[in-house]
Amino acid sequence: MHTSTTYTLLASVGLLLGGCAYTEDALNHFDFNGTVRIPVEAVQVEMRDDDNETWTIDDPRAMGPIYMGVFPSVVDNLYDFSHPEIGPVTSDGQSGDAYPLGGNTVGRFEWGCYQQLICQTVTGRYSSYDDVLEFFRDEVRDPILDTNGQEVTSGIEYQEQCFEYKYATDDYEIAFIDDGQLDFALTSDGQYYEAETSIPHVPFYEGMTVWGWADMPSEGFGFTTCNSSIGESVYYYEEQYDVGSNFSDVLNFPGTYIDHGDYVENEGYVLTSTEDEFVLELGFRYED
Amino acid sequence: MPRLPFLLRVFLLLVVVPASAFASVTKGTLKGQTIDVGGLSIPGVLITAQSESMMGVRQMNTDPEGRFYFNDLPPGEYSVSAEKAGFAKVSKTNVVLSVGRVSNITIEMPLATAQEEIVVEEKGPAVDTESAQRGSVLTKEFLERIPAGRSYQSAVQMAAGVTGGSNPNIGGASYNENTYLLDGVNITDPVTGTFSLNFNFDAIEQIQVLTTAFDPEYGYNLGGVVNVLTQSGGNTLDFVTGVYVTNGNWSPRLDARYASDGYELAPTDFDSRFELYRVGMMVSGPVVRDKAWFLASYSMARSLIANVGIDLPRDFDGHYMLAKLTTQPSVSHRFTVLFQTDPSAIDNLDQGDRYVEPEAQYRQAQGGYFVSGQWDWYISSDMYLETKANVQKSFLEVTGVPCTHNKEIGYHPCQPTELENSLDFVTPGRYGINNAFDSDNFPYFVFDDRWRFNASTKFSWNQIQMLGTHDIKAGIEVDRTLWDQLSGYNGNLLFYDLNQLSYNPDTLQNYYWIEVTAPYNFIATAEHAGVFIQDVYKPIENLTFRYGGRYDRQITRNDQGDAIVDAHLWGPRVSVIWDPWANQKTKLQASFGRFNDGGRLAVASYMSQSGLGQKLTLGEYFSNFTSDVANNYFYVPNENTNTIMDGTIAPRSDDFVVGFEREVIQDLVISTFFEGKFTRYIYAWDELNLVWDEDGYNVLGYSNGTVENLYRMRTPSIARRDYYRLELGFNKRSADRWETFGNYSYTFSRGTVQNSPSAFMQVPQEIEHYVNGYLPTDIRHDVAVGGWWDIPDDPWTTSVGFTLMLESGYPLSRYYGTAYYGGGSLLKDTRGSYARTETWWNLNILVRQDIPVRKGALRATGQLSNILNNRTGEFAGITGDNRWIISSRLDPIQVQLGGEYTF
Repeated sequence: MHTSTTYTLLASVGLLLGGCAYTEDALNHFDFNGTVRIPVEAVQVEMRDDDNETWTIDDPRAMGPIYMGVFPSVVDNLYDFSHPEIGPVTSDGQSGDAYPLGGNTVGRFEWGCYQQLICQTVTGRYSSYDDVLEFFRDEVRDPILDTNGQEVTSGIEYQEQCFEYKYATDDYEIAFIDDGQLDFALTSDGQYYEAETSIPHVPFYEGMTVWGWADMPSEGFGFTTCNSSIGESVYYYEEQYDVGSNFSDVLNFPGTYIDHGDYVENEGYVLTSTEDEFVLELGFRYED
Repeated sequence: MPRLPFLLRVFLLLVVVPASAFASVTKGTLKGQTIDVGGLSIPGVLITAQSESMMGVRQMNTDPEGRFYFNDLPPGEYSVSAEKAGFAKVSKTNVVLSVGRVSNITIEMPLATAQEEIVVEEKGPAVDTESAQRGSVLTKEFLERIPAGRSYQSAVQMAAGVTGGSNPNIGGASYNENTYLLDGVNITDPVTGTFSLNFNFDAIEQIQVLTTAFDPEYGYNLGGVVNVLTQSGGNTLDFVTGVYVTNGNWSPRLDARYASDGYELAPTDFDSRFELYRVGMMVSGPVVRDKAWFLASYSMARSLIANVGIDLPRDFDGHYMLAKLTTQPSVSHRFTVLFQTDPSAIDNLDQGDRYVEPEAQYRQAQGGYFVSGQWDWYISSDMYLETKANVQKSFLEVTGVPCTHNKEIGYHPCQPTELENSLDFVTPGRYGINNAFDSDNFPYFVFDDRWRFNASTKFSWNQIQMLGTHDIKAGIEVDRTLWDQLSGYNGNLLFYDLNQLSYNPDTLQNYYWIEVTAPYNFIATAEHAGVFIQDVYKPIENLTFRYGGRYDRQITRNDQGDAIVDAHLWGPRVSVIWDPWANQKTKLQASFGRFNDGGRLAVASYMSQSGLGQKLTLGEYFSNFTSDVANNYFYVPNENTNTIMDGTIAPRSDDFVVGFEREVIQDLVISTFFEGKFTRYIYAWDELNLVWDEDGYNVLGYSNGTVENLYRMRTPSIARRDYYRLELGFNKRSADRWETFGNYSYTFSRGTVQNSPSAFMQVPQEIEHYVNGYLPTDIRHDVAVGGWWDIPDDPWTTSVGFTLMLESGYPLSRYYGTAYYGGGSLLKDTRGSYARTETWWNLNILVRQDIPVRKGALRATGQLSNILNNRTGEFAGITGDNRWIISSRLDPIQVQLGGEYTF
């Protein structure tokens, strides 16, 4: 009796130890943390209105989304700027594919609740509704108008518009308003705007390269990476339109979206280990 | 019973058990001690236990310490007598034994006097100071007297830690992570992980709901265990029949009606319908007194339920049959055979679209059968072997309904040459505008068969003396499941109507159509084997250690035979229970357990390699615009491009429980428990090919360079849930003609996947916020209170029962993506918003009147359900340019009237 009981107890202890000794297998996917820098002069945007009058915006709120991708490599002989290596061209008139292994953005297009703002507002740039009103009135010189053509002057009115059109009950649900920390902060030396970011869930191959660019607005405050005919649809009484979103292949064919005034990473950041923290410096201004 | 030689016991433990197989608990343990008036133990006392739920009697002599021990007795009410020369015979009556519980009694025997027998009514201790498992045991007595909804699915809602609907969430797990047992046999649907059988509510003896801290013999799952025990008959012939009618049509349902353009909805737009009719009968009794019992049960249920705004009700017809034969040829052997079947059909299945034409509705036939055999071998007074084998088949068939003779539901009537419900595989199905089916047959069919073959054996060896006492159990279980599904499109074609008003079916001019290559057939299989060993060690009388573990091996294969899940799973469990004053009135416990989930067949089917191929063909209508597109088409090969990630790990939970129970006054126990449960590696999928923006909101690119979506199955550590629950409860057990209970749970859970997914796998929010992900940040208050009171009014007896439940959650969950109604284009909640539910109260009252009549009794019941009627839900849709949202009462007030005759 004692012998069998001892065996039984030993078996139980063995089961317990077996359970405690269970180990986990790692997945070959990693999050890469890093920093994106853009020189302060990048936010100086030349504007021109219909009367051919020109002026300059010098404001970080003018920045479009920053697109980042992880690519097999980056080369400098495809375009006038550095660009991810591309695969073979399979169709006439079409670029080769860059085959991104992963990617992310700093800021994204988020509709600003008025039809006029389709493809105009980016997350992480505005701290309040009044902030948006002031920027488009004073910097872009295109005041926001309501559906009756009257200028919107009150942040409260703006908020009500958003709550109505987005079924929102709290400013937290309005993604392009951020009363906390905005995406970019000025560095201590005053030379750069800088943002912390990460690129999640990327399979790791030694030598793969992080690369990206900032989509800066055109003279009419338009962005080449935004498609105004896609995105969520607004149905509000007689109104019916799409709110816009980025093209879904901007990381496959980045060269076709980079245009005059955009700021591009010079060389790309080569990843040599899964612990690397990348730094993207979007220092090259592309002049068409 | 004879005592076996030591070597034979070891042989049984080490050889016989692994060679056969185990099962889950269906019985309880009765133990105790005989003492004299001075408190000294009395050895050699003949103890006899008997009950109406047991054939014959069980007897044993107390050991030198005066102790006795009856393991593995059927639950029920027992009478225990003690006899020894020189002492008065003492009988304890009404000793209640519940499934999975230990009832420990002390019998005090005075010296013999003129009084021949002393009879003491004793229910046993109110606090089980030897078990650690948390949950509830709902007895037949209890279920008959409270408004339990006459289904075991609704009855389990009363246990603490259980939330949700008929597919409940237990212990913070998803609804498809529970285990359902019938008489201890696993009847969980092998595909969906939900319950799979229905039967007459009157046939239930007890329902055991385990939420956490259970022994290793349970728990190859992340959620709870619902163990339904059926009656077995008895030495008297019993007959029960009843009729129940439930109606919720008259209940107020309207809360609001509105549309964005002021469109006024007609009253019928927000009306709903609820009618339920049930008939049941059960007969049980002896075939041979104390040798063979039988039970046969049948019930029929028909319901007509229409969602808000839907004209045609879903028409459910179910027939539930259960038969059981129990024989006990000798005192040591007992054999039980159980057969169950529940063929059912649901007409008018589509309740999601109010514009579905009646003739385009479809029917779902479902049901199956379950056959189980069990052999109980009471080897000796301290050894027991239980062996089970069973087969379960369930089926589900979805087909179009071309005609019907049922005028009530308004399908197009059958013509003389047409057979009702005959299947039309020839005429292609057709979609009209807004995806409304407007053809005369439903476009696709599904034939789905699911099988489970299971065998198990459990061996227990009790009262082993070594530095205290040990109760050892060990067992092995083997399980094979199979899922065979055939699906396709009628005529292998699906037409889309571009202009519903002017189509010409003769020329197909206004159509395009998709040709499907062939019906799609896949088979997924799984093999599972599990072993467990556990010990209940009592070094001293008031301290109990329950420890042990289980090992499970599961291989789940897709249609190519590839092992999608190939897991070795270890589940250690340990609990410490302390009765500080050794009087069975107080319990302190701490428990830890690891629980694993080897996955369901749905996981394997997600990784099937074959699928429906299809070819798009454009009709003549398109030729009006271009000259060359009429014969163009695209062809999608029949390949599933989903992929599996290497290094998958089966989901698992680590569960920690501490708790306290105390009988504060006679029969009234209060309790408080705290549980922390940490689940990792949940089955999840993400879109392998897509690169997302910072909010997971928009796609930036495609890793393989094409727009094609590739899905990946994996079990990442970030797919997790953390769950904390504080429980306060009280329970005044049945005595003095009344019983009551109550529990309150404060729950906080936080995870990275949906908490109650509608699918079998879930979406990690950090990858895929966009599709349908929301983060389950769930803070809830749940209350369940109930009770009953028998009011004696000789010769009649009136019984009043009630249940009151509260569910709240602010916030219930937070969306990380934009949510739409029903996957449509009507915005429901934007990213970052919180899904909120109204606090929901549910009050039900049951009044029962028993009226003795010749050779039996009549019973009339009236039940009012959901009296407060404040649970609301929203329904929405788009009609042309109209958006409409209806807020309505989800569960209308229902009245149930019933009559029973008991012979």
